[in-house]
Amino acid sequence: MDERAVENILSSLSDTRNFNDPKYCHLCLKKIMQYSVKKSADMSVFLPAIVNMMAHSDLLVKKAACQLLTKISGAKCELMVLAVNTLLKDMKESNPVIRALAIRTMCNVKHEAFQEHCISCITTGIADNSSYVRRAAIMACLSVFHISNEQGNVWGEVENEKFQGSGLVHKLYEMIRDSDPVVSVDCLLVLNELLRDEGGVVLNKKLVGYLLKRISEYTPWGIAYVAKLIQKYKPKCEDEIFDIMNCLDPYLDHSNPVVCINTLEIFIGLISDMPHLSEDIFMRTQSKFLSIFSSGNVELMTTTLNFCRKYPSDMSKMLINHHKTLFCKVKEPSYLKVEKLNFVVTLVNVDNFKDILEEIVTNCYDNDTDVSLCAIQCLGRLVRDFPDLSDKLMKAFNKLLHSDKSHVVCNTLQVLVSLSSQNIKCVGDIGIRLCTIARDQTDTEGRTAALYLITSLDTDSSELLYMFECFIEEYDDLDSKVKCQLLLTVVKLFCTQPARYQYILSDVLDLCINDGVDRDIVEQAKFYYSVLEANPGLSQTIFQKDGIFNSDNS
Amino acid sequence: MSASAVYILDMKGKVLICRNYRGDIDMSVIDKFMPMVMDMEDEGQMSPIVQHGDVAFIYIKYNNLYLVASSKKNANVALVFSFLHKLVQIFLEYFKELEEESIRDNFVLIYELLDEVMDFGFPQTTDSKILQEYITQDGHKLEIAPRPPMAVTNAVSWRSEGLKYRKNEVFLDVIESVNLLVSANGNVLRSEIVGAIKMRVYLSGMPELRLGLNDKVLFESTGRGKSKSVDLEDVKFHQCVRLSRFENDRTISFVPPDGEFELMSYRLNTHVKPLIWVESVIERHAHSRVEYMIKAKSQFKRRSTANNVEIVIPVPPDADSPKFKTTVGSCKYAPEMNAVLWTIKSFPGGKEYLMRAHFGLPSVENEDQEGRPPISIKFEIPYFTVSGIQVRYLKIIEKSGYQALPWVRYITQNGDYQLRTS
Repeated sequence: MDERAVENILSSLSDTRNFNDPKYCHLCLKKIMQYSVKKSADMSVFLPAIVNMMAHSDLLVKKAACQLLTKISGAKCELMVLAVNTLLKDMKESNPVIRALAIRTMCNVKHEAFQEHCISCITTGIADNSSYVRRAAIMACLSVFHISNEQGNVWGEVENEKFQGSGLVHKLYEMIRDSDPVVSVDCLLVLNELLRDEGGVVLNKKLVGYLLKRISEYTPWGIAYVAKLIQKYKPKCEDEIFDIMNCLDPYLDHSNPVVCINTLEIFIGLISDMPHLSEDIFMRTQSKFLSIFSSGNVELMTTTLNFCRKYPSDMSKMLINHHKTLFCKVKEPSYLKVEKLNFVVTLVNVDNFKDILEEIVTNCYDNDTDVSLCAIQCLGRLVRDFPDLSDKLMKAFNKLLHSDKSHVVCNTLQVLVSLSSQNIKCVGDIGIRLCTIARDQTDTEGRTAALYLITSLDTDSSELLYMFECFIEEYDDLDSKVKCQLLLTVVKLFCTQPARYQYILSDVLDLCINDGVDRDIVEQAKFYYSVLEANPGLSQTIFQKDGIFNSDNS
Repeated sequence: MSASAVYILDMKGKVLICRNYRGDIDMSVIDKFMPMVMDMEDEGQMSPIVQHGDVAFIYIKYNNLYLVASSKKNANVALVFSFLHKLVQIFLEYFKELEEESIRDNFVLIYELLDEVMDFGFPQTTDSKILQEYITQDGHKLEIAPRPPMAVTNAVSWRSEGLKYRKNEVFLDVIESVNLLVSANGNVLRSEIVGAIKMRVYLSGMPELRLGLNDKVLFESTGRGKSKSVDLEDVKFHQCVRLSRFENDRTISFVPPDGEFELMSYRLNTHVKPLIWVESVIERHAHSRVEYMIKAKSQFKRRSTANNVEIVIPVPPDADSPKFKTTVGSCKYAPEMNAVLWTIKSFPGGKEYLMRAHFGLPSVENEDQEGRPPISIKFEIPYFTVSGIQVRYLKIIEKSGYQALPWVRYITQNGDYQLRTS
């Protein structure tokens, strides 16, 4: 919408025939609203039209006009006074929707003319006999509170004082006991935010008891919120703990998953001194978790798995026989697959080992790099956790290294590096494969890992020499990380088989010392050289396979 | 909770509609959202939460829309997600479908709805039955403007008083979806039934309904353990059902909302024989061709029939010149899905059908090898439930004493039904 369109709308609205046609007004408002979304939109030109429409006989037009009014700030005063008067008149309307709308608008416009009426509007509103209006009035407390606390707000301080002096906080505490469940929860919400600096709403035994008694009336959102709030409360004696748990028990399998999780957290907090109960409580929520995991709602599954991570041992105990619900599906996004794999691997026991292994191996070949890396890491974890089976598991790594997907190979190498050399020996004869990988891989991480692994294997094929010659030839194009590893690998190999690698070492050292780009490499090469020169016997023990350098992978 | 603002964006990241609830963030910060999502997508590191400075974007995707909530505070993410999903559900109930077009067409109405469902970042009334009573699609004169129904304050918050129908009817659908995952070597990895009882209620006044099922726990407690019954797990009810009564004596009693709603859902983990079983032999001859032999078997009783069976067999993206041979149904190559669709209009129980497909492959191999997606199956079996659940009675009691007709229908369909291929 450009300037001309704006003028068109304004001039057409000044025609009473158009103005009295609600359909036409909707259309115009729609355009103005779309315009208002734009960043640099100057809304003040619309002010006269909007103020006129606030008194329109069509409810939708009225609502939209009020909504738009909140987007205009710093405009002409007399029009604003007119708008305020319209709202004050609306406060006396018989329709609760209009009364609520008036309160909401009054408290949301950041303008002096409105601010002086806010508190009185709210006070009238919370005493209204329609719960719809009471709700609007309660929530409006928050906007008034935030506006008056804003920095640089000249009239803010006065308003803030007025707000503190109005006794609204006390009134809100009283209204927790309002007959309308939504009003009751809204009061808690508002109080908790108003009193944030003092630690939120104050919960005593009486209030908690009251909330628990009423909780069944609340909306799911309300229950979830109250459950979150009660987590703060620390009961004094064991009887009270059991009372609370009895009241909340039905909400452990409420149809809203958030309610269940929040309730579960209350229980976990309550039984912190009674660890023997924890298994029962987690088992109680088992079916709920299972239904979340088969719900197909990816966001919910991800956040729930995230929650599970907070209580790893309890959760894996609870879900150990249901590992299959956590298997990945092809279409799931990678972030969920990663969460699932990381959790499934904690569930492994003797009975489900085969299933889970199959699942992990399948995902090792996933097209997504992250998923594949995660699955291979899980495989690595199994190797460490089950030393008796590690020999067999390492065979799987051999297969992975021969995959035709380069990211799979690269990920496998990265995981292999983190395993002990004892394990790596079980992979089988991969020396030649490693040489090819080191030569052909384009990924720096993969190449470095392959070069590192070569030293932990007893390979003396001519392929190795050929590979090093290739590296020497393209030395200038190498990444400095690869250069570093190359140097270390050659030094190590030289110490085990000096005669064989003498020429290679001299070439590599020569290249490194004369490296014009990377000072680090030069220093390192000089250092290795001086060590080798100073005490050949000692350097052999340092660099040899079982020497100190083998335990770290830098 | 406390979301600062809610946005609805199109696929390009253009704001279709937005509502600022707390006024504590700069609304234009949303411009940063889409580029960040794109970057993450490029790097293959998708995440449902995107953080920019001190603003977090929590989003879901629906059709060609992004629904984004932004928050500055430490919001409860799970709650925000369920709120966004609820929002989708509300829009669907209002507009039947939710896409760019329906947002544009109902711009002002959506603003109105956004105003009602959340206030200052906290969810308020999200029950669409209630919303529909005072937020309607056509404009209103003030005098007759709808008022928020008493129900908002009522003890029975999901039903308004004073409803009247000329003909009092209730429709009850028992729908069971079968989720199945079979590994490449034919092991059933997962098999479960997700059931739902959906109702359409057209009843006057404040009726009291009681539903009787062949529930195992109920049967055993009343000494009818021998009759055929079902052991329901993980039963979830609509909020109208009196949970305490169900806990006590397994009676499902409730005052229903008006119109369409889901009364309950349940899950069964019992191992049932997969209703439709598919065996596949795939011969890949690299650089020249690939051949499929697919055998589909219906493993349910002969007197039932599966309708609209669709077997989706994935093929390599670079396959060409399809050839099919089958005795039953029709085959179609769907290149946009990289799959062959084998559709069988009517598939009686205890039958076995065969299909062969042949594709050419280019001599130059495709660079990035695709994973091996599973075969998936869609189907629908009317008048049949896998679990054997039955509605024994549906009693309708209203104080005016009218007679009402209950109609019951059973259907079994596929859920997430997949068989991995080797």
